[in-house]
Amino acid sequence: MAKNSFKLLEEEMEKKFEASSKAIKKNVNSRRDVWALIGDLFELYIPKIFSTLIGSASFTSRSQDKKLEGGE
Amino acid sequence: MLKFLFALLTKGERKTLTDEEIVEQYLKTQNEYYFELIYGRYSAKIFAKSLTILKEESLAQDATQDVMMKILLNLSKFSGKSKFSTWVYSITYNFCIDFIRKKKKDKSIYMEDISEYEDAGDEIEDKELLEVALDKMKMIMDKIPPDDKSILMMKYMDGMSIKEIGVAINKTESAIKMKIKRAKMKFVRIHNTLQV
Repeated sequence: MAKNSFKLLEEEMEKKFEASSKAIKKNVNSRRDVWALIGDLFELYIPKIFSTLIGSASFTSRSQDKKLEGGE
Repeated sequence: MLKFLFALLTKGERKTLTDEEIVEQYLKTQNEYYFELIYGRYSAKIFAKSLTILKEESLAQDATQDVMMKILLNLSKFSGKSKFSTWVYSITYNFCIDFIRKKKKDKSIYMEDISEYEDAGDEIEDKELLEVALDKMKMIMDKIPPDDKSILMMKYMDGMSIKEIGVAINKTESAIKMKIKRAKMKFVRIHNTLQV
């Protein structure tokens, strides 16, 4: 196989990864957990927020309708 | 326990799944096992590329973490038009170049400079670059500007085509050809100064 110094350099640099791999993995996992938590919170609360908003909006429009009816 | 059982059940799958299949499975199931596979296949390579461009291990560590998170958060945007590895390396190179640009506030990285294209002389054979001794290669890569370095890495380390490099750094094919030519000239020039 023909020599490729770029590939050799890459292999050399990859060897240095082992020393930092644990710290990197730990950090990636914790950041991933934070994102998962944010995702879960969104999944849990966004529908509730929406239904509350829709509920309050329909309540306001109903009370406005009643006011209008009363006014007439 | 569940993680262990899942890993055991999918043991045979680990080597046979292509990157694209892993991405598909991850998007379907959101199972972290599939992300672990991607991490296992690419983290060392991302680190190696970041270290070559950024030159400092601590910076390469941070870059690897950030690039892995970018990959995770953008997996759904991977269209499958290019190879997954090309997509991953594009994110890595762009991240590192952006980092250097922000650090130096040097906006000239990747900017077109027509006058420099004109002085590109005779074609340099790939062999001249590929057969350089490893110790000299390290010295050259230490001295060559980051944009030229990353272009050469995309072409000779990752085997990316002109078109793929163009997509990765958002340039036309003719601009990439000139950039490669210019980067090769710089490489050889530095190499010659080392030999004196």
